[in-house]
Amino acid sequence: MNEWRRVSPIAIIYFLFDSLRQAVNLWPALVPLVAGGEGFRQLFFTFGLPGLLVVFVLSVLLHFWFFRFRIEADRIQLHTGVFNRKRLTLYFERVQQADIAQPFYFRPFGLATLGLESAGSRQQEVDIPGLSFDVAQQLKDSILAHQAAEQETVADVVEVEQPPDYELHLDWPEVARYGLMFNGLLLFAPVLAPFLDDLAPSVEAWISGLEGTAAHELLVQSTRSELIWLVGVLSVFALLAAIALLFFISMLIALVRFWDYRLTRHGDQFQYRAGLGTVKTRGFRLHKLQQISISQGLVARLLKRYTLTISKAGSAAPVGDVEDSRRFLVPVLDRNGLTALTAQLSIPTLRWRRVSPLYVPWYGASVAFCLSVLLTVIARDHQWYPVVLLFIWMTSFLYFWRRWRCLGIYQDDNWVGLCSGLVGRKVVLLPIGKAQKTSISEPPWLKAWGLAHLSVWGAAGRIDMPFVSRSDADDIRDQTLYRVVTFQGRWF
Amino acid sequence: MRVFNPPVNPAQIRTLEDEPWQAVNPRYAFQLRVHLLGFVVFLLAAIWLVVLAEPESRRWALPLSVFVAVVFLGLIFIWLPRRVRHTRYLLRELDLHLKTGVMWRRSTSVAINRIQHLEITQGPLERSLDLSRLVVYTAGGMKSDLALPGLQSDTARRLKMRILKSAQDEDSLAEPALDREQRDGSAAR
Repeated sequence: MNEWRRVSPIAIIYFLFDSLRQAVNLWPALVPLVAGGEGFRQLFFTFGLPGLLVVFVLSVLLHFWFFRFRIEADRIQLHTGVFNRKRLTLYFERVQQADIAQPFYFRPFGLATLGLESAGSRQQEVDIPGLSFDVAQQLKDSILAHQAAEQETVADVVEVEQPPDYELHLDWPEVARYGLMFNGLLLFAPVLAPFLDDLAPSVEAWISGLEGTAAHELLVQSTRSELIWLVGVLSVFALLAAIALLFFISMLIALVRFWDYRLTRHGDQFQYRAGLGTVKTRGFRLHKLQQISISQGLVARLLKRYTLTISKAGSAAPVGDVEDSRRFLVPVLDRNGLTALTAQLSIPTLRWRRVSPLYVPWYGASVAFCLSVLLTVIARDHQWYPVVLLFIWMTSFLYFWRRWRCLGIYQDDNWVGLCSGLVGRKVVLLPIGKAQKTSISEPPWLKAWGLAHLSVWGAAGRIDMPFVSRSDADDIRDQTLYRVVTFQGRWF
Repeated sequence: MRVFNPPVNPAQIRTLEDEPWQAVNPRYAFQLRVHLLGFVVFLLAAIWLVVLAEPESRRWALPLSVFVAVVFLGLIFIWLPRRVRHTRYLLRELDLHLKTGVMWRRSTSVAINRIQHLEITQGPLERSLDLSRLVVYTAGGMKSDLALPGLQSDTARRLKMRILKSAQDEDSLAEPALDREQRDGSAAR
């Protein structure tokens, strides 16, 4: 199997569908068709459309012709692309996921598509269409065999009999708090707004429906301004009731999701079980940890609670469920619970370092300047113009001053992290030895101040440290690279 | 027993900046020039299409076109040579770095043992200039790749082979640690 091969000609159907999918992304190109005149449209349908069809069919055929692959003992190589040629080498041991799909048009011919996903990123998916089912199966098996040799365990979730080294259980009032803290339903509130607009007229309609009752007598005697007050109060009441209902539903959802939440640790194996209807079990091994985030929103802050999320790179999850399966959630933790859990994860006490205070005037002035220009254009002659201008500048500076106060960077031998927030707080930590890439960016104004932005990519996300002194940025970059190249053992 | 313990002069400690960074191929300037020219032609065509549709707009189309042309010439003669000069890469045993930008400097670093896979890409223009782009992918998902532009195709292939080999050596080096970790069941993050 060591020579370059083309896939079966039946795979042309695959390339056809693939090209169609990509062509759909070009829909903005159709805008001139709508915007242009009748003459343009006629021209398009006479010459443009047939021409495009010919180009499309040609491109499908060429894509098929130039798609070649070679299977070697430990890797697969692909040559693809017509004008933009791509050569890709994928080592079997780096493959995170291998699955076989058999679309309806392949089934009568006994063909299949082998999909390979390289670690972590969906950017690096490879599909090899039109392989015979047996070859695809063989290839998948040999890739999995490679991985089995690399890792002794494939499954994340194991049943263990011994008592756990660490345990955390959440009672239902705690879980209900999560519903209060993360009210995803509030996102729907703007959708409700148009209905609220209808509220005042319907209240009025309801009041006029009371005609003939004693209440109506009372209303008739009241003045118009009193009526407006009444409608206002009832509307506010309805709004509050709607929000309360949203919170109530959100708490119910939290209870269904995380009922009887039980987190345990056996050695390096973390696992949680939770759920009211379907009990979900999710686990991860410590070496797969790619990022920890600890967040506390406004409500959580009032309730003195935290949420901790552990992310890993793409794992052996069913397709479509990848995003969710990458995250391991501890929904609610009080201060003591957080301290105990972070100790389990070997996170030390974090001493945050401030970034340069020039952050405040730079962003404060930039945003205020843009808003001022806008204001000057639309309301230069208004009597309140100077007052609003002053307000904009003060608010902008105050806002960025607050953001700066909340910003913190951290780096030690094991972790690199960022703390940010405004009212709430969010801490993101990456295991330093697992960093994927670092980047130092120096716009001219930062360069003049001896500052830089530093970004560190992990396999599950990125942290951006703004306004770091250039020497600190170099230092963190060098430390990170040093920890990465000396990191021993498995990292995903 | 005497231990080898020479004094260290702080001024002689090498930083990343002191390493021998490699310049990209000078033909990369031509590639950028053609790209820039294509963009300017597109822009001017768009402006004059508007003029065709609405002759009234000729008044501002001319100064705008002159402005675009002047900016283009400025970019070609002032920015572009600097851009090419400031695009440099550095491959060391354990890591790969890329520096770009004249005004807006950026330097990006990837450790060899985090590289997932490598790709050599070549557009039609690059092919005619015998240039290639080496793209290094890590597991960091979106935008976590590093692309070395303007490499002579042969250099790109050699870099790719070298990095692949280093990545493999890295993996075989990590093996003993892996065994040790499995034996005592200790947690290595």
